[in-house]
Amino acid sequence: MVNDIDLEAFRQEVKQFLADNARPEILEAGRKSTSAFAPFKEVMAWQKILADKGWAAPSWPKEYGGPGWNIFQRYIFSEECARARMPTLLPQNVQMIGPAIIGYGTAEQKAQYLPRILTGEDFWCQGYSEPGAGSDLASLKCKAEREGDEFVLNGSKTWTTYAHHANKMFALVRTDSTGKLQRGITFILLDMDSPGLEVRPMLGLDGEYEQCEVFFTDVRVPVANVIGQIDDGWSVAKYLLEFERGGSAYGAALVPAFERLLQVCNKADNRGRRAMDKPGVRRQMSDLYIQLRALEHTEKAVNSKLSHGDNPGPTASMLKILGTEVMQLFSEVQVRVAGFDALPLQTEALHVGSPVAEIGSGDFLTAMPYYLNSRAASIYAGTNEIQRSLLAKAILAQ
Amino acid sequence: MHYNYNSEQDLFRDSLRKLFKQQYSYEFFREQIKSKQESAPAIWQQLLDFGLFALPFGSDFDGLGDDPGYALAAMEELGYGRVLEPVLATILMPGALLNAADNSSITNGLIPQFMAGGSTIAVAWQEAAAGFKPEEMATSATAEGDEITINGEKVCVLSAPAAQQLIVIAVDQLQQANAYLLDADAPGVTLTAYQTVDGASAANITLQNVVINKSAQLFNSAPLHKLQSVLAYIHLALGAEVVGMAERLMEITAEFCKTRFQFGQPIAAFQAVQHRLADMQIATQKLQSLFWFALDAYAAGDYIPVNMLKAEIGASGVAIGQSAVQLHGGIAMTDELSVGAYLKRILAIELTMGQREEHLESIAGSLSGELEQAPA
Repeated sequence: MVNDIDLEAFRQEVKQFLADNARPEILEAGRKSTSAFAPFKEVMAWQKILADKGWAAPSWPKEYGGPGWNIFQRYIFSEECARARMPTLLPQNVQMIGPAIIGYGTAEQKAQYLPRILTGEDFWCQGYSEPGAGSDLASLKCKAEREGDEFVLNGSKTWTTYAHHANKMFALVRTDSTGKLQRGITFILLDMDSPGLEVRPMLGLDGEYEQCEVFFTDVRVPVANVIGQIDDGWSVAKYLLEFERGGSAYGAALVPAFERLLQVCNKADNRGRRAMDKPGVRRQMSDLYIQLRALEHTEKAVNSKLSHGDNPGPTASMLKILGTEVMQLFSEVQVRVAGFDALPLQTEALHVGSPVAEIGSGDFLTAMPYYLNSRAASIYAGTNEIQRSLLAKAILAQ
Repeated sequence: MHYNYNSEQDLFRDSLRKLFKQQYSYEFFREQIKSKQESAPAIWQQLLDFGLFALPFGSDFDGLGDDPGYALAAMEELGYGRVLEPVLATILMPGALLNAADNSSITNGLIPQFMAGGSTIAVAWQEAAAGFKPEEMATSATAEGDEITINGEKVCVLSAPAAQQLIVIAVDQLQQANAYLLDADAPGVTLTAYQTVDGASAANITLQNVVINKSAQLFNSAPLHKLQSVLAYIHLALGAEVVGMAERLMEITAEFCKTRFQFGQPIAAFQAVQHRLADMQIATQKLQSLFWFALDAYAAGDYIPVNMLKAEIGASGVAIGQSAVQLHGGIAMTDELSVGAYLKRILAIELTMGQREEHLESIAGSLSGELEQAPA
């Protein structure tokens, strides 16, 4: 058990490391992040720095390259990264495919993939959803037919975040369509430069390209790239989804963001007036603060019961609902506090290294795109409606 | 930071749960309400045997109160079992004030007597207009020579009708809040007794030129700080009770949804019902998380998280009670089912010691750097 003094020393160590290693363009990428997906080039550069330090995958077991931190250290690390406005590492590598390979991969697969996942040498995208299979993921149709030692893929995937940046994909494909929908799905790894694979980025609500469609025409993938058992990819997917839902610490990122918003609210204008003097702002900020703390301590309470590598199970659904809805509440309060400052469309100024000057105080450059992008939070990783059904199932099973 | 009671507190909690499960049925509760008895002697005696008088007092008095976890575990079980026994009103509230008191001429004699069950004390704290913040009380304590004269009106003084003594929160000529001990039948004290909607015994009290000796003042140094600390303790206790109620309402409601058939299937099969249950669970979790956060902060002398817990009772707590009624449908509108009794208690707690809006304002005051706690 790490005592309080050690944790404080740890916090200082993290702060110092961040201060020493936060290059200007990385910090700019953090400041200009408008969603869970930070600007690609800079965030991958940051991942490399963390990987060199051994800090890229806080939740991984030590034997695979995790730092061996306890839950409180992990939370402090997330919190300090958010406080320093570092870009958040893209979740696909460390939070998604990593745990799946650790949980279901063979020794060879682990040796082959895990080091490159940590350093970001490989960047992975997630090929799950299809035009006809969103919440009802098990109805996916992207077909993989066996030909000797290879599968031949035909079909398409969508909502594949950052597919245009990725060199690898983990995908769910249909290898058998005769039985129950959940049977006959296989979890497979493939190269994005495979012949027959085509990526089409889509322009998002916030004016950025994050989401992509991916099309497969006779894409050949070695059978050796299957994770887990053929036809039993659903088990791997479920395992990974629960990590995706429960693994991230929304509170650790939101509390420092709230502190920044509060600072702006407490800033007096040239006539001495503060946003915090308005009854509506006071009320919204107080309520938001309660929700944030409730979220933070729910995450800590749940995570403190889990040891390294444990799967959070149905509680993950609660964390996903709570985390994303508090995040949305934050985005809404922030955009209301911003008021007119949120209205100028500043797509150009938002790019890292952009020569375009920011309009307004600069406190709210990301407020509107962040608000718009946050709408996705209750949709991705299984909609919050799906999560509520899963949570109810667990309540009713007792 | 921990998110559970220690093993000894868990054992204590289990014993209370067992006692209430075996001896405090909802039918028993209804009988108590009907007979206007908030306390049943047989139950009360067993609670005393558990050592409940030790809860608010520190080790100086051989009490368990240096760790509030015991008292809070008890409050959670009183909530879970929807038990009327006035533990908060007649043990924790007066006990916490006496434990915090630094006037040894009162505490030396009274605390052992109180702990032995030899004195019943009610706490006259809240006021209709001024609310619950000690520094804002309108009730006045005017000192002259060796005497103090109390004037004012207190509302909803729990367990006052049966009390032998009162501790009254009032402000002196310098607008300093303090607490004063007086006899409940002292000249100038008038009680209007009633039963509250959630089954407690209470009274509104008029204090007209009530003269007491100067030695009846509980706090010599840092009175406001001590009162704020006791207030936070009361808020935590109310929070624990709501956490217990929320947990029980979840169980009752989930069980009902599995067994109530409509359209040829259990209503738990309907997604609208499922999602409401999920929201109840999330609300319960929020209260639990805020409770542990508030307890940790309270121990460190920071009471804003306690305000957050109390404020959230007014949102999540009330929502849980209302959802439980909604999911039960018509049957929950009758007195025959316990669900309504829980809702009434949650509402009563929301209206006690500061509503949600007042606590939100305290939090805003802290966030904007305007509000500070009284120095120790």
